[in-house]
Amino acid sequence: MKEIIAKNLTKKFKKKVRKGIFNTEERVIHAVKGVSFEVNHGEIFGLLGPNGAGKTTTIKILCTLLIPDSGEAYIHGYNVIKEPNKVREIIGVVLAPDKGFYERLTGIENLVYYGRLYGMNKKDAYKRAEELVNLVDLGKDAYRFVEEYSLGMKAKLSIAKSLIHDPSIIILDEPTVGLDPISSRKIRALIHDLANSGKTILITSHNMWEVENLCNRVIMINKGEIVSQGTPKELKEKLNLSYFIEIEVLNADKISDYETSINEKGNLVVKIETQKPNESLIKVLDKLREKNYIIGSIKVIEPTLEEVFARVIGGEKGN
Amino acid sequence: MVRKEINQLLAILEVELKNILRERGTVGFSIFFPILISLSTYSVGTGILGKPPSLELWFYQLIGFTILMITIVMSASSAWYIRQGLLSRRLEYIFSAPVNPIIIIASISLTSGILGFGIFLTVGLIGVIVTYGLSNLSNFFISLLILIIALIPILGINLIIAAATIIGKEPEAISQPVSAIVSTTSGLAYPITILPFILKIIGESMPYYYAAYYVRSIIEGYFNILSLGNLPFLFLYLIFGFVIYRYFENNYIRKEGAYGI
Amino acid sequence: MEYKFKNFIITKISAELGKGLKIYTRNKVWIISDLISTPFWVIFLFLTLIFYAQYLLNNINVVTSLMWGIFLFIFMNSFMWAGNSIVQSVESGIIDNIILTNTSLTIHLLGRNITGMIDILISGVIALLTSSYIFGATLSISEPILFFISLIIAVIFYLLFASVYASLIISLRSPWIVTNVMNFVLPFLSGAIPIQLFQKNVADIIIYSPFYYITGQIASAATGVYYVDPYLMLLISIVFTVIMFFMSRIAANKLIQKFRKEGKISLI
Ligand SMILES: Nc1ncnc2c1ncn2[C@@H]1O[C@H](COP(=O)(O)OP(=O)(O)OP(=O)(O)O)[C@@H](O)[C@H]1O
Ligand SMILES: [Mg+2]
Repeated sequence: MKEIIAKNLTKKFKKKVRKGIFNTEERVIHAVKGVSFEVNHGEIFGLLGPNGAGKTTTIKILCTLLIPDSGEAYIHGYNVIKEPNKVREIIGVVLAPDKGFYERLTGIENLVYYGRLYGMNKKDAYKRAEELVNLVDLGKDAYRFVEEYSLGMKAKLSIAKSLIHDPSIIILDEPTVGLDPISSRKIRALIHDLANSGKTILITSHNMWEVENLCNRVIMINKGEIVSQGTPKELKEKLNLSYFIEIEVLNADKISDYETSINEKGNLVVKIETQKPNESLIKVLDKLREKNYIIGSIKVIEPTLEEVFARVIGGEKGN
Repeated sequence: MVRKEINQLLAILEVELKNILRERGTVGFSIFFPILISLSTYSVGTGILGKPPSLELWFYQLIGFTILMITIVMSASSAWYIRQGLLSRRLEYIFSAPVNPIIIIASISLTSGILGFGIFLTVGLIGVIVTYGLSNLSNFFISLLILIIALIPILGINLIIAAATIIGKEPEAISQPVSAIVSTTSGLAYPITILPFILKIIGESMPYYYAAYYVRSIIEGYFNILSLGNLPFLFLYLIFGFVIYRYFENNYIRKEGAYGI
Repeated sequence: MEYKFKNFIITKISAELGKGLKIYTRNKVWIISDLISTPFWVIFLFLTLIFYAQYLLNNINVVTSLMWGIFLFIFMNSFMWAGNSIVQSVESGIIDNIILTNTSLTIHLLGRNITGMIDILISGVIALLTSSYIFGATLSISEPILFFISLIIAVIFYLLFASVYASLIISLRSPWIVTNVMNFVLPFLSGAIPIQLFQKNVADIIIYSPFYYITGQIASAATGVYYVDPYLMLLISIVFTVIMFFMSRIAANKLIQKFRKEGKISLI
């Protein structure tokens, strides 16, 4: 079953801009222009795009906080426009991770509060909250007032909050913002575990490396439109991005056929840019061996999602 | 040096004034408020006495409520400004920018002061014409000048409120007692002669009482030039406010961080 | 582990009340602020209202009426500020999370309303004591049963009104100014200041205000002076409370609908 379905979503924001004291002018921001995608059960799905691309707007539509101008969306078969209450019961959401908490309550107290608003009794909510603060690695900080929290602590608390009612679909808008490397690794592991246990996850992030390691499939949007979609691997292949091969040669100062440089050990490095790494590697190794060069090490550098992003978005922006 | 600061002050003033003017409903309401309240108590007075009381008495309260309105606007907005600033971390930027925070507070107070002045101009004009006809209009315009001077020491009190908001964090909780004490003791809605001795002393030691007194006495023509002798003493509030604000800024915001809204 | 979810309103209400109480007891500044302000407000209101006839300060009936007027002023004040607290919920992004939990605005505001009611209790008592100590008002209640019933009706009415009020002010830039002003206006329009003190034609206008049947009823029961028949008043107050119940639902829905359309509840 498709857990999340977005069909042709569009959203415009109208803003009155004041010109002088008495005149106003209506400015229309077309935030989302016909975005469609589907997310399968148990999948981790990434939503990428530059600032202002319309990611948060799309996510708010999916979690019932925004009504689209046109298009439809379904969460676990429920219509987000017509059945918002049903949708809200089964989704857990992180929006603006640094907001949404009472400053004069502790982290735990905030979690229990939301748990109870979701209908849990106090004892269960407390138990669940304690479990979650360990899961997100908030530890003892959970017992401090939120007003003393750092950005990362608030982000952890937000993630815990999104899980408090054990939702089957989890929607995360930049959940790892402000997290240190160890914490974000833990959160990634947590997200993996959640997906393995059958939860469906929609995530946005500006950390391409993270998305590449986490997501089964991604879409990239720019200016409210989808510009590319597929698995991270497919995206790279679609663009014919280059691989880089670096071969360290121990017994040469100069090789004329290739681009070269000197590495930190003082050895010569042969550099090759190619679309077909397997064939090129065999070819170049054969050539080097013919001339009796001794090979120190070989590195094949894959194109990253970041490059895909730069290409797709940068190209668009260049237009 | 001073020129730079005046520039900054004008820049903030412009932004804040634009902000206020955008909210025409609130401005309208602030003008409406003193008129409505004074008419309500006038109606109560009529009911109690069985006949309409003299318009001069209504005018007395009208002026008082107008100044009360100005007080509420001014004290509430500086407290809120601090809170909003802490909440949005804007204050941290401001402290790291080469702008003297006092300039900022001053321009915020000035903005609400200008708003207050506008309220007074409108309401006072209506009141004077209704009560005294056109003959006292020249007095009214002179009273405007005095009001400006009398409002300046209030800036000092706003600084103290701002400082208190830094520690107390709840703007309403801080500005409320100030409004309460000022309203009660400053002879705004009734003469302070009927107050117990201690409250009378409190009222006479704060600038609000004098603002109301100067304005009324000038409009009604019993102004005594000697009463201006209090002004230098009132300006101590300004200095006092600056010192207190500086102290709390240095000892709380900078030491404890802007955490803890 | 399995968790039971009951979307019982009771669970939500107790969560809101628990939160409200926790935050209240941690906000010492507010408590102190109220303790300082209340006696001053009481004196201010007293003297303001009696300005035109200061000799009436010796009239126990008038003074007692005014005392109840001020008690009710505090009463309404608390609910208005609770309504105003929606501003903080919006600014802090809490409202998004509240909507996601399918919790109604009225229930959400209960968290602040409960502190309002504690305020009413504390400040109300201070007001009554100040009035009787400084101005010599009598502290007895003329119709205790009616007083009690009308107090309960008023609490329910204003709980609902708080959410209607919240949805009205939320799109303003400076809601706190409006709330401050409303706090002075409402006592006059609601019969909190006993309407016998007004001119007859003004009193005859005030009895068309729904608030009169809610608030004025308490004043009447306390002083024993009725302008409208007590039982008619009771009936009308119940009708208005029911109406307010539906209005609060409509207002909350409208507010959330607006929020979902525009992406935020505009605090422009
Ligand atoms: N409530 C709103 N009112 C007016 N415009 C809005 C509103 N919310 C979003 N927008 C506009 O819609 C566009 C898309 O915004 P959105 O928040 O969806 O971007 P985003 O992809 O999440 O960006 P980021 O990576 O910076 O979070 C932006 O131009 C933004 O200014
Ligand atoms: Mg975003």
